[in-house]
Amino acid sequence: MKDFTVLKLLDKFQSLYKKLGVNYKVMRMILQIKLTMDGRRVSTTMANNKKTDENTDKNNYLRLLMFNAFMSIFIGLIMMYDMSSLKATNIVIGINLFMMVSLMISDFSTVLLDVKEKNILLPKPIDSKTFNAAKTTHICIYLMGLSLSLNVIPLIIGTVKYGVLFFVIFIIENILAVLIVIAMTALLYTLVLKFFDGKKLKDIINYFQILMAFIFAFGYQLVSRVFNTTSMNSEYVPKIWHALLPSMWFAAPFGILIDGNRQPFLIFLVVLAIIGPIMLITLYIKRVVPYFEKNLQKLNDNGGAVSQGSEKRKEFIAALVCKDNIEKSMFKFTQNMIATERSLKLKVYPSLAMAVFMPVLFMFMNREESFVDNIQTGYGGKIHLLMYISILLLCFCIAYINNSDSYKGALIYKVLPIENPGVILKGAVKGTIFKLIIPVYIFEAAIFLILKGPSIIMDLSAMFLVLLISSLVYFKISNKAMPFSVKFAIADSGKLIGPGITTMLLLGVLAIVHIVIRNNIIFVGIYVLVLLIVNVILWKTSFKVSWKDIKI
Amino acid sequence: MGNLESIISIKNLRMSYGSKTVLNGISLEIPRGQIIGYIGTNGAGKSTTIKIMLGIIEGYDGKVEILGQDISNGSVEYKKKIGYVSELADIYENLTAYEYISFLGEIYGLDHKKLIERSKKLMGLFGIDGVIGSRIASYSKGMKQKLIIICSLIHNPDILFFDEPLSGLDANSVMVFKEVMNALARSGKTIFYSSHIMDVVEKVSDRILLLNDGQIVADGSFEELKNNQKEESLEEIFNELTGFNEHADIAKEFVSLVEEV
Repeated sequence: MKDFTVLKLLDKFQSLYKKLGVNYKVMRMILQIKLTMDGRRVSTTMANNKKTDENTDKNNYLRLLMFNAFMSIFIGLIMMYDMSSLKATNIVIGINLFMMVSLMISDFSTVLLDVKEKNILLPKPIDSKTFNAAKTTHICIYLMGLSLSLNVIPLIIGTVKYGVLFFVIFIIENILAVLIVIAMTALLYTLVLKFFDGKKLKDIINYFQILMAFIFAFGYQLVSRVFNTTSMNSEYVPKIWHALLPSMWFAAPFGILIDGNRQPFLIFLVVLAIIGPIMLITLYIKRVVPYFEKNLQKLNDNGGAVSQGSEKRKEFIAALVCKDNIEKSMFKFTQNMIATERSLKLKVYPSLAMAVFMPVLFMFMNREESFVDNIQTGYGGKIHLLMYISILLLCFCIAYINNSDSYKGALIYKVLPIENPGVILKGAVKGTIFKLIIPVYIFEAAIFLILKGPSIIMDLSAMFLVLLISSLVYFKISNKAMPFSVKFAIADSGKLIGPGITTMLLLGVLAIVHIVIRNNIIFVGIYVLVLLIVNVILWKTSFKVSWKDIKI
Repeated sequence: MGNLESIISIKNLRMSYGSKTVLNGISLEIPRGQIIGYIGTNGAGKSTTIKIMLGIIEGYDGKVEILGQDISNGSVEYKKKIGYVSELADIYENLTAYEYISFLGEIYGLDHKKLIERSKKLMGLFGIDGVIGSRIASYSKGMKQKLIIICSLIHNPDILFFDEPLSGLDANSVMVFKEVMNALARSGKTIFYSSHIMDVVEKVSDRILLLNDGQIVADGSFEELKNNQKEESLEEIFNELTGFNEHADIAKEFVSLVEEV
């Protein structure tokens, strides 16, 4: 088995683990096993497993890292501004924390909440402390990679601008930030576990993710408010509530050491920057982990029937949107699967929540006018066009429906007498759009309709048609497998970057056309008509697939 | 058997998930060298008992001692002396058998070269030689089960927990495995054998424990149970003690529903 460089690096910290009572040697072995497995992937049920590509999964992670590095160019621009390092790092670290928490929730919750692995490892002479240390470290390794790649350009710019001291502090803080992210996420999950029993827990965790997305989207609005962004050079004025923002803790050392700011409050923040992560991680190790151990088992009880909702209504909608019988049953099947697949919801819900919050966030950004004025007159009276941001996030949800925890069940597609797999895909896409995407869109559209009146109906219809087109296109270019037939894996998001960018460009073009013609109602009408025709053609032609084209 | 020291000692074991009671006061003394057939209806608490003994589930009431060690004291020493075949065949499927066995060897502190040699021979005896370098995911169900059985034994444990170990094995391998169990018991190992296949339990067990609603409702050798219950087979004893006697009616209705199409 390969000896990983990360593990050699980790060896430098072994005394720390030993002090915590972890059997480092055993933990290292578990990590080695886990990293080896992450590098592989048994993609589908019926694939010839010996042939599966050893490197796909690793490439996904690498691609994610590269994408992050690319993103970091834009974050790096913040560092280029002529402002104090205190401000710059506050914003950079704020963005970083935000991105890490979103990734943690969507990609690593499954690792954190996994219970199956206990059955394999705990009957062996491995104590639960070591077992959990391995689990946490495993997540840490990935998050640190992501965090560093996201900060690579700011790090370079900062080092050039402020010297080696910046480099050292920034690296250390990156590690501390990852610890905070893990500890906080786990802490919050613990709260959920504490108040709800097994049956409710799974649903609650999903609602909870929406809440987290909300808190972080708006919480970090505060970051920009710490400084009045309109005047980049204003003096920093301490406020007590700044102590609640971890990004301020981490920015404070730069304020003192690089800007030479000697305010006592900053020193207090530096102390928090050191004590905060340590306290959180201690709390995590001493309280949260043992509690998790006892209560995670709850997640395994599959207590309770799933509420069926109104069968008749489902039947009615299915009959309305699907002609083919197999397509109709796939439509309903998809909706039921989405309702019960926890891992799928873990991935999708945060971006659904963000889709709702993002336009609101942009409304707040323009703080020259009051909120109400902003809705009426902001963005040239066409503020509802901000929904294109939501559309982008919404159509990204559709890529995940080929994943499932019970991916082995996908053999039914082969067992059942199904001639045309396109029908299955069509039903699944429609099911997803109706289950996940349309409700969110309608919710948002309704809010804008109430705020702005019926004059925007034309715009809303155009945007809806664009939503359908981009969802379908994204599904087509990101998916080669049958619905629910692929196992979830770490760094799944990596392989979606290419299709994501393509869809983003397409959506961008469609949105720009709309924005250009926004003031002429006749043009918008023609646009709607064109989009409608494109939709009909796309939906008619996209699902002419044969079994040969499907990657099973 | 002569040696009557208790290898496993459970006193008044209770366990509940929320408001649902799973184990309702189980007490057990198991001496060395016995094969214990552990049976019960679905959801009776068999797997829970085993998982508590393995340290997978915590938060129970009562006292569990294995090899003289109270397992709640946090030491994992006793786990060096136990082997486990889980019902769900949990294993890291993305590894090759070689990698998985090496990993286990390191955890148990075994000599690597000897271990691999031994494992290859063991796999050969089970008719799965030549696949040690392939991913476990590519194995058939039976091959995987054989590997899991081998993995539970590579460190020569004193106690074995077998939860439905025969699933997926062909008849020939079943015969080999039953013989292996007998020989292991004769050499002083204790085997905790949990299964739903009554004929096998009846034949291999020195002692049978029947669990119903979180309590032990029968405890003794097959002969003893037979005399107490005046029934001929373990299957009948099982039906009797779990209060089930309408199988014929249910079957009739089942078939009539199937044919309704």
